[in-house]
Amino acid sequence: MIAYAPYLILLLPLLAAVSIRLFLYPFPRISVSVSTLACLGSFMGSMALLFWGSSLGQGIVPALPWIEWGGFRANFGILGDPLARGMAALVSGVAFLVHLYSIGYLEKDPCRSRFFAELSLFVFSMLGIVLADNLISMFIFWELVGLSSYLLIGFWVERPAAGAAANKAFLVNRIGDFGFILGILGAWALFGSVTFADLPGRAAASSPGWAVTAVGLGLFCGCLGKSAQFPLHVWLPDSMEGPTPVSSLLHAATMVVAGVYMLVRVLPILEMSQATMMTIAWIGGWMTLLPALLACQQNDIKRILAYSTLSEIAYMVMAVGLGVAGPAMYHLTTHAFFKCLLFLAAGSVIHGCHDEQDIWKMGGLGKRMPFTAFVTILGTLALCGIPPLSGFWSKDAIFAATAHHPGLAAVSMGAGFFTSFFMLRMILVAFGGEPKNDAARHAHEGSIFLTAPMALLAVLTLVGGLLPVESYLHFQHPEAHETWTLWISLLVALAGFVPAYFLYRQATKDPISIPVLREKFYVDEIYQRVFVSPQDAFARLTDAFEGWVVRGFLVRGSGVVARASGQGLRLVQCGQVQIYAAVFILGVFLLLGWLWRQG
Amino acid sequence: MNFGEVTLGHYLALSLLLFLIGLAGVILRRSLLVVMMSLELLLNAANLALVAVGKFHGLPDPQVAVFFVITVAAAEVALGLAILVAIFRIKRTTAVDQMASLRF
Repeated sequence: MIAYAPYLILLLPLLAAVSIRLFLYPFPRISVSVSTLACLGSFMGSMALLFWGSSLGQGIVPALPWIEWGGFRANFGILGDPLARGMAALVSGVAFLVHLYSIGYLEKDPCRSRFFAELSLFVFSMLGIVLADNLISMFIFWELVGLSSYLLIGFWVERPAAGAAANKAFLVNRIGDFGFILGILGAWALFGSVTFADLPGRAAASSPGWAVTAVGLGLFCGCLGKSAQFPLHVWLPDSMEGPTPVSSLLHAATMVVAGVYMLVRVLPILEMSQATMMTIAWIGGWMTLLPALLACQQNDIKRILAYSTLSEIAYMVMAVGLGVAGPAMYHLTTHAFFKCLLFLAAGSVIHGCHDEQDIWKMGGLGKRMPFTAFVTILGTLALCGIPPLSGFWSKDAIFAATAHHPGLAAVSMGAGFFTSFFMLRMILVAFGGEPKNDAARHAHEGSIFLTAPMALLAVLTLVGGLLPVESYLHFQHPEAHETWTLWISLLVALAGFVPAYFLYRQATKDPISIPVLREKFYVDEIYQRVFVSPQDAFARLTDAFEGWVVRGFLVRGSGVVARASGQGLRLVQCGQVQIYAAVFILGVFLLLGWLWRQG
Repeated sequence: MNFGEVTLGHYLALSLLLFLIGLAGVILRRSLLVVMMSLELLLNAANLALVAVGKFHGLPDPQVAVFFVITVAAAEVALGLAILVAIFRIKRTTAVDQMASLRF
């Protein structure tokens, strides 16, 4: 029985979500505690699994038989390899900190029961993805994560922008998930198994090259949607309409890196096709640079961080494309810490300035919110890869892998320049200078619930680089470490600070204006023209068809015909029921007489 | 004065007489209430014929059928009276010849 205990890690948040939704909804204080304690329970369980799981061996948790049909077989199992255990501990740990933060962030919101129920649902689904032992159950949790993301982005139901952003996130993810499920079906068709443990063995079997490439690209489609890579990246910046703890947990630290985690899981399939790997590497490479450029012209503090998230995830995707899963997971871990920290700090700023998100309306926050300013600078240094903070070690591991791919090295290191540029811009404008309005003038630090998680994450940001992620995951270093990547990337990143410092030190409005960057390369407009408008036109066409042909002609037409024929037949009626009866009786007599004569 | 035994013919003649009275009532009377009573007379004429035939030929089936007729008649009366009341509420009359809205 004790062997089934790891299922509790999954079940606790689900139980919390269900019980809040069904019973505890009217009692926000109890709901909040239940949800947070459930997350803490999951975290403790994951930590126990992390430290003592290895002594139990590979198949530590008995799988429950789930689908068996023909040759198809999918268990509902919990995976116990180091990758899953490490990721589960990371997810539940960060989630717990964000739970704590949300207690302070939403303390006045009357709907916080709903928020915490949805947060628990998210923790359940995300841990489901992490612990799933086959592609089918991973896909189900994948969709559940999409659902909880939708619910949480649209948490503030009274804001139309939040609803639109939630819809956009959900629909864009559908496109990626469609490719994902095609990839899953293809994997089953080619290898006869969807269980992760079987894949390395089966994938070695000979299959046509194009089919393997197609399957790999299909699975990568799922990553494109969930991890918001080009061309499906458009939903992530908009998802910042959700509450900031959600942006921090889902749209920076955990959910959006699920795509990377999934790629690492199916790496044996991807590695069979050089074309797939190169596609992944180059999409990742360019996606490090482009969002970093866009972030240089954004004014919303959360959107700046969202674009930097796109860029950082792209580093991980690129690493997977280069076949080095270790650095990818390493960067995933450190990124979870410092990006979560940056978002929580941004939330603290927004909270302190009474829901102001425009950095040009802040200013002078360094003096009024010294702790937040301090952790923001810490997170920024980690994000830019400045030693000795955690981001430096993980980024360096990725840069080392690009040593033999000059093109990828150039774009990804160039991205580092712009990352430093826009992060220093954000800090100088928001925290430096003079306050631009009253809200900024009266800004203040939040309660202990806001600062304590930030302090813990700040510690993790500092020392996260020491975590032995790669050796714990048993990913070997593929080649000797090249030192030139380290120096060049570091120099480029430091160089990014220089122009930002001189441009924005005293700026009260943006001294440079590049419309194409501010308008996000017009991708949203292009999608609007190419996909959304034709679809709207088609919808209007079908609506007109329904209105004129179906409702107008068929339904009303048949009604009119019946009515008109009824009116016509009234002409031959006299309306006297007794005359009808008399005619009827006469008829009966005539019939009887005729029958009698026939005799 | 001996009219002899009552035979099946007598019963059937009485039944026919009742039936004709009923028919005349249905066709000629103007009050909807009386028309419905005449309808009952028609049913009872049929009942009488059935019972008489069953009795004289020793058959059970016609007598069973009579129970069905009585049941259906009861239901028909209930429904008919309800319709009658509804019509009276709208038209304030029960004259059959006033109910000619089917005509153009």
